[in-house]
Amino acid sequence: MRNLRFRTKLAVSFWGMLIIALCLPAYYLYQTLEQEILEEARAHSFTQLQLVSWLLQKSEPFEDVRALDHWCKELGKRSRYRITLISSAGRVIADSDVLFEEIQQLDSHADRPEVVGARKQEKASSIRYSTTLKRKLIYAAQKISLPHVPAAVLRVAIPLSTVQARMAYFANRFWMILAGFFLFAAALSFFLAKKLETPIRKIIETAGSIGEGNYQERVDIESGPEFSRLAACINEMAGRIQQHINKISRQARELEAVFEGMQEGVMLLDENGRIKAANEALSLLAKCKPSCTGRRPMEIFLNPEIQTACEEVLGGKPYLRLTVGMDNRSVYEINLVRIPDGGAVVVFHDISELVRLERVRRDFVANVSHELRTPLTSIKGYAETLINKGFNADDTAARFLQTIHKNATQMSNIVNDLLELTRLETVKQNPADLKPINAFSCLSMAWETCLPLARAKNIELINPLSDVPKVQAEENALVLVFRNLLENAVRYSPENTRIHVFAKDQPDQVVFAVQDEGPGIAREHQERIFERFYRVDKERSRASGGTGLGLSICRHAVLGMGGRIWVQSPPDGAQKGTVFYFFLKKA
Amino acid sequence: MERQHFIQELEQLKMTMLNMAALTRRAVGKAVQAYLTRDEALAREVIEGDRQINNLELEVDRLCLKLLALEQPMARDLRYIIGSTKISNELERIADQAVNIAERTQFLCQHPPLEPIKGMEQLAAVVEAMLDKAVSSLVDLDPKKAQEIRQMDDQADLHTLEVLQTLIDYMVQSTPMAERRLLKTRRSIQIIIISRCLERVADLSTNIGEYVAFIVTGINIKHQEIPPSLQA
Repeated sequence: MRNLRFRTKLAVSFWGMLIIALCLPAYYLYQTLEQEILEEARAHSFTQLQLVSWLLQKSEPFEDVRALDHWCKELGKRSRYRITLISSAGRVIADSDVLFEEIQQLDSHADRPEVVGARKQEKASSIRYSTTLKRKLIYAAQKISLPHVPAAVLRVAIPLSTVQARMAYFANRFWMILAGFFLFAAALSFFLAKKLETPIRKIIETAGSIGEGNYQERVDIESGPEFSRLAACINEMAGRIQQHINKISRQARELEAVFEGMQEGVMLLDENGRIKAANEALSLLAKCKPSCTGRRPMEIFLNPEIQTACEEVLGGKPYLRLTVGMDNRSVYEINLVRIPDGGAVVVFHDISELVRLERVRRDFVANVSHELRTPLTSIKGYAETLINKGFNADDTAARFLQTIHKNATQMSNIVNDLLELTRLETVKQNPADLKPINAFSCLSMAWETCLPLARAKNIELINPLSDVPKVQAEENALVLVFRNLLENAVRYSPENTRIHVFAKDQPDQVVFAVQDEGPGIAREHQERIFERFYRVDKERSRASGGTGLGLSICRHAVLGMGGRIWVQSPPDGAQKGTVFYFFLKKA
Repeated sequence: MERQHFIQELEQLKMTMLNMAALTRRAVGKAVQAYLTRDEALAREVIEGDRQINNLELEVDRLCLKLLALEQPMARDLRYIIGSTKISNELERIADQAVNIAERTQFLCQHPPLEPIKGMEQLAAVVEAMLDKAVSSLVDLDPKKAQEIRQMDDQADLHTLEVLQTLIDYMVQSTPMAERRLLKTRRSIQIIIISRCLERVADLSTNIGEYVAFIVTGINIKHQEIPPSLQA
């Protein structure tokens, strides 16, 4: 039923309703008519019975039973009724349709319903099948009193065939009309159902067509407000979809143009780690032919680092960045971003030029410093010689000599620091070169170099590092870090103060801190003090003799040993002062 | 489900093979560069990186054995697995040659440079190109590269001979001091060994191309003419 077409369903329901609406009243009508006809037949049979009874009483007296029987037979032949006379005991006395000789053999009629009825209520009737005559008959019986047979029952049986024939004729006509009506109504209902279905089918076809992508398709029907509204809704929906599709495809085209136009190589990985899309720049950079899609990053880059990074990001890392050198000396910075629904975006940014410029800059600084060092040493040396030898000069010349010596020394310090910085930048600290180092001895060595200035300002060092565990470091670098931090601290601390050095022992690293009681560093400078030549107070710093490179050297040295350095000013629980922290891994 | 598992394992084998090929290619590149630019640090990187390649060879062998024992691979998959054991073997030997070059380079870096040897750069370029082709034939499973690699092998042999000739001529030149003569000879021999290593890399690359052809077509073209169907 569920799979039937709408039209069929509608027609079948119509037919069902028609059958119920036509047949039930028709059946009732038929029943009533049939009863009417039977009733009429019954009344007729009583009339005939009365007639027979009157004739019988008129014809009296008969000589004997045989004469009575004969009379019955005569009358029966003329009227075509069966006339039976039954004694009070139920025995048949005379019968029009049975030979006189056989009457004796008939069984008792006392239990026949009409006979029973007649005995009780003078007269009665019944319709039933006669076994004697082998057909359906209407029996009508009444009590009769004859001289020979007192209290007998006279019975007339009228064949039902006439009634039946009438009934059959009537029924025939009746059912024929009904069938005619039904056929007409069925055809009508079929037609109606079909008409109802047409707009629905149109709507279905159009909706299907829209679903397949023909967004220009519209429903065009004129049939009732409901269907028109449905059609209008579908048309509107199609219009909206078309708008959205246009918008989305325009956006997609724009995005694709951006994607293809990008200088950076971009590829999209699916959740299985295969390349879903790649732009022109990436295809060029990976030299994949004919297309990168469907392959793994490993196949096109032949680079285990990229493959591992892709796998890590697909495995759940939200973000990853790495720098990879490819063949022909290009260097790429690769950013991998995980897409939450699975997959990843990988962007290749060519930083070869940047790397090259950085190297040029470093080389330039190193070369210049190197070239400057020799003449500077010579200037410094000669100036020193002149001063020490007590060169016969007037006050002005001596003052000039002092200035030359002081500035040459300052410049020489800067050049030395620059060279140190360049060395730290270029020579990547090899992890294998890091050894377990005792920080306490490094600090002591660093303090030695600061002692003259510290003594002059009466600054004391509080150094409780003697029981700190060993750290992974390079001895010279660690001394360098401590020396620069202590020099700074001494330089900026007021007289008669203390410098605290302390260390925090953490599970896998040690945090060192160098704290002074100087004026502190304003917040806006704190981020920049690790840049080379950055000075908080230009005049004062220069006067104090710093090169402006100390903290820069510290940062590179600490980074090289796998640590990090940062500043806090003022320190926790203090009004002024600065504390420099750095951590190193435990040995 | 079973099949899915097999595909996954095979995929892992392929990735390991590519990883190994990439690292080997890089090792040779670095070794050559270290020699040409006298970069001792780079030479050390090559020597230190060899362990990883050796481990990958073991991993490839383990995966192949597992696949053969548990999955009953058929046809091309079977050939891929068999080929992988052989190719990984060749790759490992190439990496060993790279280490050899790096070790010679370390020696050379500790002594003053000789004048550039004629044919050495060309030899290195040809060998690297051959290894590139071998690796890309493995990546793309392209059987036609075998022939190209084989053709390049002749060039590599020519360049090796050229290097050898140059160095022999150089060694027999008269040098005044005995000590300098000895050093010159020692350095020359180191360079001859390097050229010999490069020549070996060329031969092993040729083998890789042939194994790839076997994996793809099922035809073994080792030690025989390449059939027309495999010619580019």
